[in-house]
Amino acid sequence: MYFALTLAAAIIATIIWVKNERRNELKLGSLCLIYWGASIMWAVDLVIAWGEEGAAAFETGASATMLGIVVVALGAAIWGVLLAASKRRIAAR
Amino acid sequence: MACFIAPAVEAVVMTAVQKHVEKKEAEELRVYTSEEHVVVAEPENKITWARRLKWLNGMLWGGVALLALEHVWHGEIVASFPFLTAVAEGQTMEMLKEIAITGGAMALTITAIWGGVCFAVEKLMAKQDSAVARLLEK
Repeated sequence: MYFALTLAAAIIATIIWVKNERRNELKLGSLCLIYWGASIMWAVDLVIAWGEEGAAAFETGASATMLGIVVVALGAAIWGVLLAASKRRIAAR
Repeated sequence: MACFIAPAVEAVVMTAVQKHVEKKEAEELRVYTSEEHVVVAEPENKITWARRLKWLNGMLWGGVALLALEHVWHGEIVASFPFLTAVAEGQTMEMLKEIAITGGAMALTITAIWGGVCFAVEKLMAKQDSAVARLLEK
C-alpha cells in the first residue's frame, strides 16, 4: 500500500510541477525526484518479492496504509527543509 | 532486510562525483566581470552534467530516505548496535544477498531510468535547437 501511495504522490507532484510556473522557485523538481526515487525502488522490490511470495508481497493492511501516509509526509518534510534552505541561501546573497 | 544500502552507497559515490563535476564545470563556464564579482553562466539550451547528476542524486537520496523509514517501521533497523536486526539474528549472509540482488537491481533501475531521461531531454533539446535554426534561416 505504501508503494501505491508513494506512486500516487509522485504522479500528483509531477502534475503540479508541469502546471506550476513557479516550479524552480518552489523546488518542485526535488519533490518529484524524492517520490519517484522511492516509487521506483519499491517497484523493483515488489517485482522481486512477487516472484518469491506472489500476491502476498503487496501489503494492504491498516499498518501498510499508515506507513504510506507517514512516508509521503516524510517526503514532503524533506522538500520543506530543502525549500527553506534554498530561500535562506537566496536571502543571504 | 537492508536492500536500500546498495542505492545508498551509489548515492554517496555519485554525490562526490557531482561535487567534482560542479567545480570543474563552474571553472569552465565562469565569466569574470570584475575581480570581486564572478558570474557562472549556464549555457542556454544545454544541460550541464552537474545538473544531470543532481537529478540522479535527488532520486537516490529521496528513495533511500523513504526506504530507510520503511525499514525502521518494520523493525529491520533499530537504534542499538548492530542497528540491523538481520545481523543481530545471525542472518548476515541472507541480508548481504538481499542487498546485492534487490538493492543492486534498485540502483541499476534508477540509473537506467535516469540515463533514459537524460537521453530523451538531449534529443528534445536538439530538436528544439534545429527548429529555432530553421526559423532563423527563413
